[in-house]
Amino acid sequence: MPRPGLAVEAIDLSKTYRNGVVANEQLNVAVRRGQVYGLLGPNGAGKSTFVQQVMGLIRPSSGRVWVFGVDADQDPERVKRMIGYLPQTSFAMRDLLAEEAIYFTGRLKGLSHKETLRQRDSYIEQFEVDEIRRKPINQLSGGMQRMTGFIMALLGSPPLLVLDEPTNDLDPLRRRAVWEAIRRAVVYDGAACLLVTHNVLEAERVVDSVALIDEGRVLAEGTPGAMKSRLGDSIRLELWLRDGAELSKAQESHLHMLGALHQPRPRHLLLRVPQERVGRTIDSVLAEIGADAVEDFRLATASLEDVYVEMVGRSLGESEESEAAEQSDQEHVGAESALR
Amino acid sequence: MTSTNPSRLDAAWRRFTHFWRNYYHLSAVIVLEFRQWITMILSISVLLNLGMVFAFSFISGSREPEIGRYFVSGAAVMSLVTLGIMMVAQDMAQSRRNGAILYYASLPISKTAFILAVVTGNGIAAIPGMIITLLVGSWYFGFPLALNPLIFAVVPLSAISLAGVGAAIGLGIPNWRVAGLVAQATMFFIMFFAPVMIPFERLPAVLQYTGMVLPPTYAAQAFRAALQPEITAVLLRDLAILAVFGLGSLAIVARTLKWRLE
Repeated sequence: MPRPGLAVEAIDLSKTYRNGVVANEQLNVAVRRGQVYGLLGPNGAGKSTFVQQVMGLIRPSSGRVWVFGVDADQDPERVKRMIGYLPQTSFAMRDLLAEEAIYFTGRLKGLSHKETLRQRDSYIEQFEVDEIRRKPINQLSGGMQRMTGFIMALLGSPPLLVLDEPTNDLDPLRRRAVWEAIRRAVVYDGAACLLVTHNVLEAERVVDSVALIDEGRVLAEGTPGAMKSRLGDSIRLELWLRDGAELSKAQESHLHMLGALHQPRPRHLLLRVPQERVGRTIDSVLAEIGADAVEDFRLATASLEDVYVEMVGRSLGESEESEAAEQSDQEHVGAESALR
Repeated sequence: MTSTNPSRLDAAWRRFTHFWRNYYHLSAVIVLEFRQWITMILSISVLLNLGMVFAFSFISGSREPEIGRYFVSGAAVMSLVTLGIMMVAQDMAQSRRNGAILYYASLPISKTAFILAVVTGNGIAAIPGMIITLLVGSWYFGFPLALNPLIFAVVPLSAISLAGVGAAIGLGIPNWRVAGLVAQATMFFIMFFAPVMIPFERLPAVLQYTGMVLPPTYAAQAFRAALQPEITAVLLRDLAILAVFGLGSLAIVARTLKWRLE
């Protein structure tokens, strides 16, 4: 039986497709009301399958999933009434004007004509996206398509928001507006939000709880703080090497001895070391590769991304790397300038 | 007993209004989606219909009014077959491919309403082509154009009776290219091997039998009958058969096609 008070509960949820592909295996997830719950994991980790099981669109091979106590497999119709969904890629009604698509989505969700218009206009005003109104969705930029989809998901104030990469393609101000809207729904309306993302750094700031998924299994679950404490009080040392400077095999194995080394690109090194050894490590690194070879470096406390890299054991895509670098720029300017 | 009946009635009424609203809004969405392409859709459907009429008249080498009436009504039914099978199958396969079906499936809507709306939207787009074919055909072959009011039942019933086939192809075949090919092959079969464009007695016995179980046969027969002013018993019988096919087709869609993504 589902536990009361949970927005989503999955118990031993497994799915093996007919072609033998195992999408998820013994998945256990509990999302409380008033909580943003992040599902992190690489592509193909089984996040989408899980989301579609929650909406009753994919039948579990075994195990069960409930949404506010309603079995998603038994009564998908009722479950869908409680969910506002933002798919990752394109959605329907692409040849309609954005304001028409939002309107019809509201009507299909069961809102009245007047209420749909009221909510549509208020969200368009709130997100300052008046320019989308009279344009067909397929002619909007990626970011504006996301905003349109986001408004469609919010219509009717559903108690559960299922958002797949909601801030992809958005500029920083709109990202913030989206996160604020999610927080408002969660804090004031008591909704729950199931957030699918592989943008770990951004997720870290908004989620209350997070599950790290890979190969269809939950590797770890908890608050971002608890997840980070898994790595102890280690510090991340990031180094960028100058053009032409590359590590020899000998240097590489030397660095490995100093701490956990991760090399997302040939001239970008991440080294995780215990706090008390940071000073000595910097000295050793500079002695090993020479100060001239270093273009830039930075120190930071462990992030959710480090947990992710550590546990998933794979590097993130290029785009996230650069995004991560940009964001940690803002966060760690103080530490960096103090060291210089 | 007395307490359950009204609540059951109430639930049924709510289901009906829900279905009707879904159908109305989804049809509006599909019709509005055609807006950008309306000129293309209309001109191509008119050209296709007229092309069929002329091609068959060249093959037969005759401009007899009776034969003309046969080809013209056959071509009109073929345009319904096109929308019921090809367009529905393509729409379904395409929207599965681009994720639209995932979005609709995530909304609390009736799938039967969705399929009916696809048929309606495509049907509305096919009507101008049918009217032009009738007008041009009656002028070319010189038969008087008399319409029976029952034509308004023949057209939607014919389209719906085929939509189940289209939906099954579009949703049931995993690969969209294969789905498209199967839909085209079905069209081809109906055009050349069923008593729609080809007179019944010209077909070999095997195809006469297969023709008897295909809804387009009755659609074509009913359409021909509806081009005469009298309401005949045969017309009513064909309409009844089409209604049975239509209801059966919708029931199969509602029962077997799940809003599932596997």
